[in-house]
Amino acid sequence: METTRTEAIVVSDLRKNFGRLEVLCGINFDVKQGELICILGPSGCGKTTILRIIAGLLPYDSGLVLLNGEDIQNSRDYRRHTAVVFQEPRLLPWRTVWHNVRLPLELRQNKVDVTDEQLVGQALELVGLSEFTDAYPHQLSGGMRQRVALARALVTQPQVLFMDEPLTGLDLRNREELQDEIVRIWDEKKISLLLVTHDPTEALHMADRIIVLSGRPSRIRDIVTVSIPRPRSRDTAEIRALEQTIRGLFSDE
Amino acid sequence: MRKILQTLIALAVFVILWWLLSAMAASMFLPSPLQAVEALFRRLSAPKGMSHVWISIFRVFVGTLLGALVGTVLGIATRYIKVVEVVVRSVVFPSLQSVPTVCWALMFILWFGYDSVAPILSIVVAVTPFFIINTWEGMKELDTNLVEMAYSCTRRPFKILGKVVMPMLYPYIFAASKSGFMISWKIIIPAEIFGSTSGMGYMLHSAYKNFYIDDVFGWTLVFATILIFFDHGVFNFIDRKFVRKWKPRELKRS
Repeated sequence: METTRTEAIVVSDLRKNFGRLEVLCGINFDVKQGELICILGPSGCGKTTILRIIAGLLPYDSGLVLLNGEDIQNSRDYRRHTAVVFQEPRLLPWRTVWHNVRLPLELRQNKVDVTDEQLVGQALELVGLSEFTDAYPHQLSGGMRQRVALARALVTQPQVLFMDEPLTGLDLRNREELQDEIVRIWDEKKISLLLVTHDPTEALHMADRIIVLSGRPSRIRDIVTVSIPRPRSRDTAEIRALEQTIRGLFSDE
Repeated sequence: MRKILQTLIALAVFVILWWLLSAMAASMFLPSPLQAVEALFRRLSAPKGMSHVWISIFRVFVGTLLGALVGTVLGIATRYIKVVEVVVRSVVFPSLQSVPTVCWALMFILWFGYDSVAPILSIVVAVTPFFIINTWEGMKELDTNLVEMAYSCTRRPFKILGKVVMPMLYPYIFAASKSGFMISWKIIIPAEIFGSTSGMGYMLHSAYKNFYIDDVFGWTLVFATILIFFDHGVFNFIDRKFVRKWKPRELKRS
């Protein structure tokens, strides 16, 4: 069944150096449409670099990145189909929650009309912040701020969502809550999701497949398929076994 | 309340000292406060008296606004366009900073004659560096994370500039406006003395030439009043009401 689905993203032989420092050395993987993929690796291994390249925020040296079969370097409008959630919420402090979520629409379009305003409302409802539309970012907790960032990414109805360690700054309770919420939204919206994390538990809880990276220069160690049905419970024997396998991949180095 | 009281006391001491000194000196050289205030009202109520005030205010505003526009555009462009940076750094900036404004004023009179153009251009030349420096400073402090976030949404650079970059620069541009405006008021007087047949500078000069010393003091008072009004009234109000909003706030940790 997996093979019949078309690829949303194909990455082939991706290479990137920062000066003389080799960061990525031949990365190959794909993300099928509607798939949830986690990129897992130790900190500083270049997983964020991969994400930033695919999101079109960083140039690369060689290789190929396709979005819906189109080279992202030639595709002029691929930003229309993608959105990014960063590690920090990156909200504009002078805008209310509502206007922060509205921002991508303002940036892309010359005019934001009534239907667009409805999208803002829907996005905020999706992340459970409908009652906080008039609040300013500094009045919100860290978890709520990241929800606003999530709503901002969803407001343009992307096909592919990139997330760069979006839950790293949060406490455990918030993190687990948002993990479930992201999975719920991903399922509901049928988007393809590529999430970078350093936390094996997080990857195992969320992903269809986990791309395990080695330390610098980054290579793919293994791609682990997680076939546990959702909703997944935490800390079962099955998950612990898989976590052992993944942690084993790290210690082999 | 306490602060207002202190200010009032200080002002009263100043007026009393002035009054004592004027009582000792000949009124030719130092008119009493009362005489100056009297002259102030006489001048302002005279036909065309207020029009000289308005024309000076008009020149200051136009000059400051033009300077703001030129300085801000140059300040932002230096960040993105290498050629502009070299030109601004090596030609524009030094020539604006090192040539005394009075010299500029004289040149503008030579080229444009006795009119509003020379005083306005003198002001532009004097305030532009403030806006360049402040915009530079603002661009240095720019939150690049926010810019990258905007860039992940769109590829329209002017949208990013307008919606994300400019708002981050507002506090810097406001600070430049405040000091630029004060500088403008100091420039307008010599510029009008040399280069105009209207405005408060011109009136001050003609009073001085004709030895109407209480008029000189009267105009000086008008001048000081306008400056204080704008500095403490208008700018403080704008700052409290609007600019604070754009300043980055300390985000509390979750």
